[in-house]
Amino acid sequence: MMDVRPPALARWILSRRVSGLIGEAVEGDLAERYHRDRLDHGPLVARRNYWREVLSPALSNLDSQARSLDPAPGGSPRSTNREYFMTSIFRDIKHAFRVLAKSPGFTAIAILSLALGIGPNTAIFSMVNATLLNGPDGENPETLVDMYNLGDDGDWYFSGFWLVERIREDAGSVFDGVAAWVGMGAAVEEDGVPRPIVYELVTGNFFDVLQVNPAMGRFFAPEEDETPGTHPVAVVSHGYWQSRMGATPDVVGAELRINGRPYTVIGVAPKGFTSKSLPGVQSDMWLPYNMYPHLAPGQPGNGNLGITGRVAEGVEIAQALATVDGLSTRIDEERKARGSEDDFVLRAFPWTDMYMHPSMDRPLVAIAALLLTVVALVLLVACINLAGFLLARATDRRREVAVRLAMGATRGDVMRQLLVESTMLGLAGGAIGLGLGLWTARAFTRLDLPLPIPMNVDLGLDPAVLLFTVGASLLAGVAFGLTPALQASRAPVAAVLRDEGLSVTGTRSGIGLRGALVVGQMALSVMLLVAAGLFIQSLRAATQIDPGFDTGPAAVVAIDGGASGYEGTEQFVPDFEQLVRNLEARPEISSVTATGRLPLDLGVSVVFYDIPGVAPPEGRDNHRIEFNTVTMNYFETMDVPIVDGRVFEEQDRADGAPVAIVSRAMAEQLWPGESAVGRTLLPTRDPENPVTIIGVAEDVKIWNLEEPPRQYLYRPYAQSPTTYPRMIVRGTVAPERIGQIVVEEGKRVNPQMFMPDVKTMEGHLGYILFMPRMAATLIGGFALLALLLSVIGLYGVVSFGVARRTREMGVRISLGARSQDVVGLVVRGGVKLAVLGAAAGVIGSLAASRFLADYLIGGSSMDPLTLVGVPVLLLAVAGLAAYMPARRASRVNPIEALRAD
Amino acid sequence: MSHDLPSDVEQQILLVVWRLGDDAYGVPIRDELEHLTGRSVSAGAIYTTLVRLERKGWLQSSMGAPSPERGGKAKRFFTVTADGAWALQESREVMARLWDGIEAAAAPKGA
Repeated sequence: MMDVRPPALARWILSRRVSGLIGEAVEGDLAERYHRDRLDHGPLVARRNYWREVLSPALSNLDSQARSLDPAPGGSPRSTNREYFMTSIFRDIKHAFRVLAKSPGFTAIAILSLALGIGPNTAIFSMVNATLLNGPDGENPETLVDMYNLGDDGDWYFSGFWLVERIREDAGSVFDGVAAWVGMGAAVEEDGVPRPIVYELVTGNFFDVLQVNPAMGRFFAPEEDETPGTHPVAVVSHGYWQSRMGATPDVVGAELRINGRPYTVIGVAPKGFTSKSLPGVQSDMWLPYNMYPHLAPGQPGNGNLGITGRVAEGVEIAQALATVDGLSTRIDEERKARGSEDDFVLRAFPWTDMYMHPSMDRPLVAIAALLLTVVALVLLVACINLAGFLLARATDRRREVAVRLAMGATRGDVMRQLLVESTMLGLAGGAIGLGLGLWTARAFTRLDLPLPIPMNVDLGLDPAVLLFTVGASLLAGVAFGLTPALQASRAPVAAVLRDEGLSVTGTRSGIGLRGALVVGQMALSVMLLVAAGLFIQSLRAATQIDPGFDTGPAAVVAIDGGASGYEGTEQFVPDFEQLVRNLEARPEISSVTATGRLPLDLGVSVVFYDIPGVAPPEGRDNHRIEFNTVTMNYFETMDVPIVDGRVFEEQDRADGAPVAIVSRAMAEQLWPGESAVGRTLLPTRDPENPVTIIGVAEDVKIWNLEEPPRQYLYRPYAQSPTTYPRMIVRGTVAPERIGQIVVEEGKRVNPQMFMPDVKTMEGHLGYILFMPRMAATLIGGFALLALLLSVIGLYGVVSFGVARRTREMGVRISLGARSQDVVGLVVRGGVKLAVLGAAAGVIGSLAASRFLADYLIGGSSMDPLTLVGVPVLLLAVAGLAAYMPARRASRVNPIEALRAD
Repeated sequence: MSHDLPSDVEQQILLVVWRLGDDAYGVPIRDELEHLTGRSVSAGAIYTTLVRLERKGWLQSSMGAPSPERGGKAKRFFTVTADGAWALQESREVMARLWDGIEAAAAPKGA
């Protein structure tokens, strides 16, 4: 049978709005009408009429009126109260819609202000959330720990595979499993073209330890990670499968050519599983650790493995940590017994106690805290705008409020109504801000950022982001709507209704509070602008630091010999030398040089030496020296002066005597006052082949621009070749074109030649300037946003004041004041607020700037230009914002102004 | 009882209930009112007035039988009380006194 009852939702709402015997009669009547309307006019009209009745405001008072009439049938007073409250809120929301729609200009500005304040918060929070807060992916993180080695410098470092095995043997009882992982890059052939990927080399139990389940297929079986080089299998990420493998359903069993060798796909990781080594960065695939002979030949001895343990069931975390500490002490004692002087410290860090990495957490949290503080201040400025607008309106709406109070509404009713309004404004602003913020954040991550690893952060609409934004919107609406609501509900009814009288005192106090708010806004804007000035100054300082090498136009091209299919340096070097010769023969190319590691890049190579006559540093039994390998013309081409001795020459061949060039800092620190040339270094692992120092090179910035000169050592490429050289090629054409030429020539030498990174010197340096540039851009942008918002606030206050004082202006003009007098009067009032704000802001900046010192290059000493320029900028903008309403005031027609009111 | 007189709307509803006699419940009251005044009124407004009139003692009510097209809900029948009838008479007389001596067609001065 057809259901001819009214719509269920409407019936339900009606049942919430009415109760008791009257309620039954009303429900029955409306049902009967619906029934009749359906027969007479059809279901559409019937439904519309029914809804109209159900939503009618006239129903709201029915219950309270009927209560004295009919004895409440079993309903407790509390439930009636709740129903009463519900219907009141319902009515308040409807009323708020009407009120807000009645002044669309005010509503639009208030919502836009809030959206501009909330948007940056959502953007920054969603990025912090995606990288820091979400952390690494793994089920039941409360029983997971990461284990790191303490380095000489107090930071925590990755370890070698021997330590993984040692933990499994000697601390295995407290762990259900111990996994190791390392993030790396490789090339996958797509349609015959090698394309770069980011992957993690992981032990076979990696996914079991993290307790993650595959989206498709399976993860590694035990036998797939037992013997070196025997099981070329791969687990691909959900994103890689979707975007690079065409989301094909038969992905399991598919073949991928990785670094020239076929690998079989055995599974797909679950959506959202990013990576362990760098949270927020998407790993394209995971390959078994025991494929290292193919993928990373130096691996087992290499100290770059992260270790993660799953604490066994029934074992307390504290017990696991203590066991690891005990193992650390045992290893340290064993090493000391063998004559080592190095301290050995291994420590386990529970996942619940860290975001990303024990040494990286602090700087990352510091950056996140800085950005979140800045955007919170922007939101504060926006909220002050909202409070200012609401105060102004509260003054305008005194009469409305007084009438409601006189008609029996309680002050609570009035406050609730006003809070519902401001909360609705907050939520509307939040909704727009959410869209704005997510869009900005996504656009930001899609930019071609000069980062060594592609940023691939998943900025979905995370529940945490949603909660954050809704929370911020509610806070904005309630907290900043409260004062105006309180003020309005305290209106002295009789005075307002008697008219006049009130507008004097009431207006004054409103302007006073609003004025104070504007001063606060201005002060906050000045502080943000000064901070932005400091970061711009810092960026300028960074660009002016001399890195010690020629940063002029050049192409910077990396060659991945392993990914190109070369088995080792013996195979690779002849082709590489051929490529260099071919390039040098091109007329557009003026110089070609190569190095194992570019200055100001990520990554490090270290060698250990015993140095006759020079004691190793405290706590060590040998010298740990960062080293690099360079081709013969490197120093000449990079314009790094040799201050003592000679450069590498033809005689420094693979079969020649081992030689090295050291940095000036190394020469001066190890042999102060003497020449380093002619000294010998004994490699700790190979003391039979001493290395002779033949020259000293000027210091070059290695890690970052702020570092003091470092001890650094260069070996000739011929004696210390690598299959992963970076070429620096200069010529007479644009560096982009030179990069293309290098790729072309590479393909001519070997069509499989894989160059994973082709960029310009400028692009390369962009990475090192990325952080200061990003800080200056973001904070500068947010500061301008705050300035814009506070100027809107000032404009609002001044316009409101002008509107209130129309009569006064009329009197002044009719008494002979010239229009410029009136303009001056109004502008002076606005500028006075700006001056107060600027002064407070400058004082605040001076107090706050020392908190920024850690973030700045070249210290936080205030640039006088910033300190003077910012207040001047503020006053100029403030004067303009006050001038516009002032002009309006000066055009007041005295007759009309006096008649009005 | 009181010197209170029913308002326009109250008078209209009292009269409709009176006219309807035994059949005076929500739906016909509203139909009759809309038919006679030419204005549409919401159920909420009618019931608010009905309840107010009942509280003032001008109406009394009793619950009737439910029916299927009402979703099983009972009707509430209203009748005009003696006080209600007196109040109607009273307001009619007041209005008559006020109208006395005024030509309906004549416009007030100054309009």
